[in-house]
Amino acid sequence: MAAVEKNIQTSDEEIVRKAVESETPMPAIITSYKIESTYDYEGEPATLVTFYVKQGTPAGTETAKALNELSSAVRKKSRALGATNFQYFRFGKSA
Amino acid sequence: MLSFDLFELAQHQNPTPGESLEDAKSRRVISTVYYAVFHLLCETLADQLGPDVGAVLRYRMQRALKHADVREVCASLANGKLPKFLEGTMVVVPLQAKAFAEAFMELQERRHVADYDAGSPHSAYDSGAVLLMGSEAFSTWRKLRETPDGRAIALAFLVARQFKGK
Repeated sequence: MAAVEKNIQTSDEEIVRKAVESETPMPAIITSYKIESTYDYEGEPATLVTFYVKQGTPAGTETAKALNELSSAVRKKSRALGATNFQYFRFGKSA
Repeated sequence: MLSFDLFELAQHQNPTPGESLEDAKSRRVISTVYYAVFHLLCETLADQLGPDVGAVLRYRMQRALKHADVREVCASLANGKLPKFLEGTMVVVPLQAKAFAEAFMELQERRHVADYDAGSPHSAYDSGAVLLMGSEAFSTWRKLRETPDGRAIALAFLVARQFKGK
């Protein structure tokens, strides 16, 4: 059962990775990203995507809009490609 | 209205990148935005079900809404599926409802992470994105609640759990 569960999660993670990779060109403020299989607060499998934002980028409405549009596009593409887990997004600062 | 006050508070508290206490401030903003949206739903239900009952009953009614129940209905709507309670009452999930449901689910999850996951650093970008998402969720819900479908969905948030499997 654990192996099956793991396979389902890995599959979703790979689908989300494809969706992120298809977002070209990515907004210039993004330097890198990380995709992780995890669980949401309800204990259901989920995929967390963290985008890292370039140092010095202001945190105004324009940045928020770009980040949310990117997330929304990745979510839509992931669903279209067959992802079934809940996806959510975080935005960190580049090292 | 508490929902609007909370949202305004979140806007004032949003940190800038590198600011002192950025992590803690970002977490508080995310949590406050989520509660602002949740209270907007509570207020909608109180307006619908008891517009003339007075303040005491109104506040008690607002306590009736459960976070997990709203999430369950939203999970269904976000997947384009009507919850059992709403089956046969509308042809498809309205686009605005789907958009709101997706935003609500993400806001709730982000709130859980912000409030409970101490090992997950938060940035001003996190809270900025949540503020904008919350603003859009506010706007979407305020339009939706003026429609019959929106009012039905508000009822579903309150009672859909009782209809599971029926």
